[in-house]
Amino acid sequence: MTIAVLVKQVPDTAAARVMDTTLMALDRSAPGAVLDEINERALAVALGLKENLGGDIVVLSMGPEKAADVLRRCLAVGADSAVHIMDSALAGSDTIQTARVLAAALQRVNPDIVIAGAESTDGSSGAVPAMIAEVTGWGQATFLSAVRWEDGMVRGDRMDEAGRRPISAQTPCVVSITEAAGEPKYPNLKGIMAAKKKPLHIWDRTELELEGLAEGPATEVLAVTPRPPRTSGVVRVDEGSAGLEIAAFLKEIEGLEWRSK
Amino acid sequence: MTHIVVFLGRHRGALPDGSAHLLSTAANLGRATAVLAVEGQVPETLAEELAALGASSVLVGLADPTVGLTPEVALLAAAVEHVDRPDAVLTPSTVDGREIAARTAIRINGSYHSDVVDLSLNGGRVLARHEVFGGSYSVQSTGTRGVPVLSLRSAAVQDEPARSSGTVSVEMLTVDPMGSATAFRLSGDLPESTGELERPALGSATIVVSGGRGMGTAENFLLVGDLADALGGAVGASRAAVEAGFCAREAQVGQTGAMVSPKVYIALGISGALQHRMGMQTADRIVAVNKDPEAPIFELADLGIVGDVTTVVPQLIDALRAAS
Repeated sequence: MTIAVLVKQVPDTAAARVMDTTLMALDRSAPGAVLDEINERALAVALGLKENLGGDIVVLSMGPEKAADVLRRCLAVGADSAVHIMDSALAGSDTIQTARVLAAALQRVNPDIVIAGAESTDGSSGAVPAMIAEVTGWGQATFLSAVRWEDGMVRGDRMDEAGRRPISAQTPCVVSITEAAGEPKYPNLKGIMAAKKKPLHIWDRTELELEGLAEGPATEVLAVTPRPPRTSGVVRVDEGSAGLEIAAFLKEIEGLEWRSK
Repeated sequence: MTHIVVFLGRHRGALPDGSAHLLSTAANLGRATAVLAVEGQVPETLAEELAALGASSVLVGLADPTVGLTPEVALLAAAVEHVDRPDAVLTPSTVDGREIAARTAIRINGSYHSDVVDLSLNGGRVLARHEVFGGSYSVQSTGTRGVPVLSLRSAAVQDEPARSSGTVSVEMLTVDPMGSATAFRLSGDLPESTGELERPALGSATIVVSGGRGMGTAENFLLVGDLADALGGAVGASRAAVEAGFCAREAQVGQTGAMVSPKVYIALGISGALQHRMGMQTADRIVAVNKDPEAPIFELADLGIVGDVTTVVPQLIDALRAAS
């Protein structure tokens, strides 16, 4: 069993994130870049599956040189090998180009299961796993709150607006997981030492035979405008009637209707 | 004339939620062709219902209830071909809708624009506006080739429905069920509700009541649900409250949980860490109750109360119940 895990380096959500309004893009060289937490969960799910089924875990990331940091961290936590897709021509990729490049890399890895986070904390489009399934023609079991392997199929509960629905998909299969799946694991010294001996491959467009991908992104960003900061309203200390004050405040909001249960 | 293909979702005995907003958005820019995947019988009144919401034409395809996403993608791709170079394709920005849009964009070799807040026309091009980093920035994008596919965020306030003139007929599109690999199969009939009560979904609720670690105990946290029920709202939580075990992770609001944009957000015992603010700062109105006058949540609040949630909230619930 080969399990591929897609990981991404993102700006730390604990710090203020800044967009370059001239470049109209996120400055990925900015300090404070971390492994997206949802990816730590994805890796934990992969480690859980490996424990039961055996096999290898390959982590993949597309990004600038610094992205190697998150791959090394994954190797230290227990992944067996890593693939770093690095090509300056891929900077500024949109979701479609990202998905096509990752799909090409995954087809070389030839996994049984691909696991990704349902949504990254920076782009948050949640589109790439579905796009990879579309490009490859593989099964798609996304937005799962738990992942099980039963009767040669991936099974889990898909979380949508209405609640959870049990679904199943054939392998090879692209899985994406929500916050409810997997508890992040952290590297220890032994893992960090072991990671130094694990293979970290660097692939570019030539390696992936993607020179034909010269069209560039299908989307163009026209403007980036910072939102004016929210101004605070009234702050009062409760003198015994704050509950009534809030009720009065809600009643005065135009067009707001509520129905008690 | 601008022509927009609008995918509404699956018809399971009723029009999918959000159909009115999607169709009025498209009809305000030009001609709207509604696309629906129908499980079972196509209702006789469908054309009339959709015309009233602004559709100029209606395309339907039959969908196998046990197969997820791929029937919709095949239908939508067929609809784009049928309409012949529409100016844009719209889908709802739901879990299903976003993934259908993403796959369709790949299949028709168009561009993809996720979670669009509003769209406009400029020189015949469709421009999409998104909010990123929890609404800290507004970003405008457009497609550079092919048909742009946009998932549109639902809005609590709906535009006036633009009734289309003329007769609207329902056309059946036959799509090849084997045209693409199956994404996944659904087992089990209906989604199980995640809440004990039938509460609205966090992502699209008009009113969200969230609790933080400042609720103190899991027992006190029940007040969050009580207030949500008094208002018919959804229950949310801060990450700290989830980690303290006060509620399920599904309720988490913030950068690593649900991103919400309700008309009213009520934060109870939430200090307002940046991570949380990113998930709720685009709410129209914010009310915060916290015993710490220095809590950063007060910087965002339209009404902030420095007080004890265990006395303020019951008083508020009583006042709301008495008024209704």
